[in-house]
Amino acid sequence: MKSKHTAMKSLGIRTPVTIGLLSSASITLMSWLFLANRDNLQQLVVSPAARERFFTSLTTSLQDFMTLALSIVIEAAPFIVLGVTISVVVQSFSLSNKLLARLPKNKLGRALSLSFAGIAMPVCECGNVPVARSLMIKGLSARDSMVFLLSAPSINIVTFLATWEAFNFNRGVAIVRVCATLILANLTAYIVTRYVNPEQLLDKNFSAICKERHDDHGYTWTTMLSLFRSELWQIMRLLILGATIAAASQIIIPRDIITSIADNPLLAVFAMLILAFVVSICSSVDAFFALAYAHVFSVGALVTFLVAGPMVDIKMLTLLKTTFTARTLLVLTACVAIGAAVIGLGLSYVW
Amino acid sequence: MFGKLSPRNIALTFIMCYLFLYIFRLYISGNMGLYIHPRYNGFVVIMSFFAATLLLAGLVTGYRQKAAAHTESRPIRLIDAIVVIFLVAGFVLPAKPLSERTVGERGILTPTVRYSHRPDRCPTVTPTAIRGWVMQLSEFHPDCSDNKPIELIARVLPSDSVPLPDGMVYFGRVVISCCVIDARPYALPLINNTGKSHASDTWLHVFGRIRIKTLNQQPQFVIEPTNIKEIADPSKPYEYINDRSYITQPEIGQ
Repeated sequence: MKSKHTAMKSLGIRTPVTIGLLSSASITLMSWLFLANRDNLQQLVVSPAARERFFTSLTTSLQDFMTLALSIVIEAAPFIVLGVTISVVVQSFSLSNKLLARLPKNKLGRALSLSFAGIAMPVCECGNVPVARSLMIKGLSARDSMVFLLSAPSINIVTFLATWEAFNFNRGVAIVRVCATLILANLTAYIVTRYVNPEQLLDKNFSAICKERHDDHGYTWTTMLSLFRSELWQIMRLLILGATIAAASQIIIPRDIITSIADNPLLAVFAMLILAFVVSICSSVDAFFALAYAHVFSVGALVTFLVAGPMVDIKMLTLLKTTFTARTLLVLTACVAIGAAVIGLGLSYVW
Repeated sequence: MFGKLSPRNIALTFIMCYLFLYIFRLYISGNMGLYIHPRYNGFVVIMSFFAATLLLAGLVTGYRQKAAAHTESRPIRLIDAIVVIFLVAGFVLPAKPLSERTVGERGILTPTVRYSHRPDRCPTVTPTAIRGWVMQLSEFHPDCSDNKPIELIARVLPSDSVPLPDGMVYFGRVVISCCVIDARPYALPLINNTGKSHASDTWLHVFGRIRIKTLNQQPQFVIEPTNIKEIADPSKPYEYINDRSYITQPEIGQ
């Protein structure tokens, strides 16, 4: 048993979430191969033409998978480089101490300041992760960092203007998005930090880094460049993993299945939650994406997509795994999903 | 502390540099548009160059301080292997647009005929691209557009999700607002009155007029062509939201 555990550890399969992700991906892929090509599979053994059709179909799927995954990586990579650079600067020049010292001491003021901190850093969610990590290393609490991570992608100028412009026929959507994000981000951060054991909130490796680097001062260029490489690799490899899972999901789950249940308000909200989770689109342009569904889905379902997407999607969860434990992310995902669904359903009935 | 110049860190530096150089190569070869909206090209290239420079600088400074650095030998993890396999596959497989099957599954967006719009308020500009047409036709009274001349370069899209009557095909393009992840096909039904069938994915240069016909028991805008020309695949298969080149330099005459 021990040797099996050691073997898995040496392969990097160290957490339930990794095992869960890999297992579910394999099962889904195999199921899809079976269901999508059931007729082909029956004839594979006897018919060379069926075999050729099957492999052509598989090659096309693989090519589309690579195109989708690469597009996520290429689009997100510069934001991650920017975020990691800011993170290194913040850690190296004691800026984080100054920033943290300026935060209001009372809880409400602190929560509001962090909720609107994204205005000062208008990048998408990928860029915020390294910044939040650097602030946590220097002493920002898990709850405060969660408020920042969940709010900043939606509550910033770029995202607001994009939503305002995309929904120019219904500008209330942009305002509702900001309000709903503000409430849900703070509520989620409160619930997660209240009900998850403080010792199980943060990833063990990250906790160790926090202890190790908390009092670090006097960085040299060499250590800064080394820190840049280390942080960049931590985030980039998980971005690539997230991109591959998101791309595979898009190939496996046809988009028209999700959109075919738009008539029922409850199912529509559920469908948009799934879509937001699978698509993993950048928050600064997700309004234009949602716009394409405006003729099919209710405003409530669209708001659910716009609120939940930047907080938890496949790409974001893999990035957050660098910092939080699987248990924390599970509770966080559940809170966001339930909260966004309630907001969406409520809006569906009143708007 | 950060594991300075261990073989693992040298390998990681080269792997990440490779990724950023790959992005740079896509830009040079003009294939970046197959993945993301061109408005991000400058930002992506600058940040890739910046990251590659810092990584290589870290390698040089780390090498100079080799004696002071401790070596770190963490095992190669499964996730590291996935990254390497992904990058190798990206290098081996040629850059290609999304296949018609994946595009078709996303549901084709066509304009809606709405007689509820004000008939006295009509558009003053003529769109040059498919998204502009779809948006404009949906936004104004149908009488504004009936019999309006149209010239468009687009491709024949698969019509599995909402089948069209015989002799008609969906004619449109995949539109991107950020990256291929949000790609969505926009199209208009095209009456094929030339007697020649056009296979799915064929690129056409169409001249004609907008008409309103009843399809699937609903009024719908269609293109009634006066001339259809088959053309070679264009270098830019996608249409990009807010890309000014589609207004000032339409791909006419290819």
